[in-house]
Amino acid sequence: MPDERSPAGAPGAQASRRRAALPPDVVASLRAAFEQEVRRRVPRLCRLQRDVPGRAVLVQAQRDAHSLASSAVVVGEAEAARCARALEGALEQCLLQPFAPLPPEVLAQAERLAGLLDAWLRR
Amino acid sequence: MTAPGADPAPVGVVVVDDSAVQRRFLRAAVEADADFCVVGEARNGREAVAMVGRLHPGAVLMDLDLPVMSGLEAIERIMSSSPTPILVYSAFVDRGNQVNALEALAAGAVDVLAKPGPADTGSLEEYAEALRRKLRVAARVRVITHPRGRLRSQGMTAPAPAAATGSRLSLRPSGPEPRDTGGSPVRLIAVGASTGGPQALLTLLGQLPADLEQAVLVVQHMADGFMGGLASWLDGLVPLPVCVGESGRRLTPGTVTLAPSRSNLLVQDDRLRILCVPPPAGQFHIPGIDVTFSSVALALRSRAIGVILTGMGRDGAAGLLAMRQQGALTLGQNEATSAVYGMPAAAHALAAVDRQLALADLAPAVLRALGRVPA
Repeated sequence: MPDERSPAGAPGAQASRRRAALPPDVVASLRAAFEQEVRRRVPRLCRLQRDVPGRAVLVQAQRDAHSLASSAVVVGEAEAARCARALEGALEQCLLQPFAPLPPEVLAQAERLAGLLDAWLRR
Repeated sequence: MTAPGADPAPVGVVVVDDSAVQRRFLRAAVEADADFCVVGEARNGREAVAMVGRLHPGAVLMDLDLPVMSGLEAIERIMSSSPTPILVYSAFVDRGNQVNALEALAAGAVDVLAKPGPADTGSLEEYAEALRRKLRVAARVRVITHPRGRLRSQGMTAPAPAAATGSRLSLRPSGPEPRDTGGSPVRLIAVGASTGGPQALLTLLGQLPADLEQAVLVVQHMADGFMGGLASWLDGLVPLPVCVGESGRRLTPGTVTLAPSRSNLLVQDDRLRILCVPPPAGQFHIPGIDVTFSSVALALRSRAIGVILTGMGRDGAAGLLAMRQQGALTLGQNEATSAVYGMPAAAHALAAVDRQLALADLAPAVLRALGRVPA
């Protein structure tokens, strides 16, 4: 494997070319993107409460939970990230039995995640 | 041409993630180093393959869990058509999910990096620096056309497999014990059939030799009470022994096991233990093919072959897609030879089928994939 020196040669040789990471405007844009993601994905998770979900709904819900978990980490919302990751794992089990009523604890997890993210939106 | 002493052009990077938050973060993290420039953003594996072919970037940052086309499939395709250094970053390549990391590397990725998770305590800036460090190394790796992708593009199976998807089944945490998938042979042939199935099964199973080393699992939609009869009928006509599966037992190599009536059959693990569970209320087709195929995808990943035969409806299509996304070879019966071109058509429409073949050509394709010469 090649070493990890900069392409120009010696370590740090191009340090001056590197800009500071994650300036405030980037952080702000990340939060804006997360807000859009929350507004798009959370309503779909809330649909789990309504009917007995089929496979496609479960797959989408799991994808939503997965994305929200990773994105919440990026914006520093650790609790929401943990909740989303737990929901994602629970939905994985549900996928083995699509068209079965979701266990109450899964629905509660979805509701809790929606609540956490709703609170984030209001902040 | 770069003038002597001038800074070299930055390395173009394509970022692939279905989350806008992640793409934005990655762009910021990468472009914090002036040696790199994000030249494209793709939201799924298919976009990524097209974008890399068009833009010829110097490196790709690839998530694994992608819609439309999984990251692993995209890696294989890129490495077979436009070899490019790929750094995988995913929530599913951490210590608890080493199989995914191994599969990404087996597919041709240069390196992997776990996305920061809820339990991580490091800062985003630290993660961004780790990402750049890995990217700097990855971008300098000279990559070549990857054999797995080349084999798959020719419709052949490859030694080691992988996953991913649109369905996300490929990328779930796999538990504390990593599975040995590298170069493992196929363990199971899973077959789904419905209307017209018994005759099709006779043709397919009739061409499988008595010394087959793989287990064969058949899920045939059938009214309650007839499965034993189907097993007896097939057992008398095909070279392999045929039985009806029982919950708690293992599938046996060289034996055809039919999923029992009145339940769904799940393959629990790579030791081929099976579990028969009552179908949920409202399930139309029993035993369900989707449920079984999905369990096979999870338990065996690429070490299985999926075959969808004639039948009405669409049961089996989603499960077969899950298998394909895990790297399994998937075959579908073609329209011309299907009694009812419903399930195979649904699977084909979902892009769950690697190859669509005439009924008589399915078993030879299976045998060739197993490295055997068809009779």
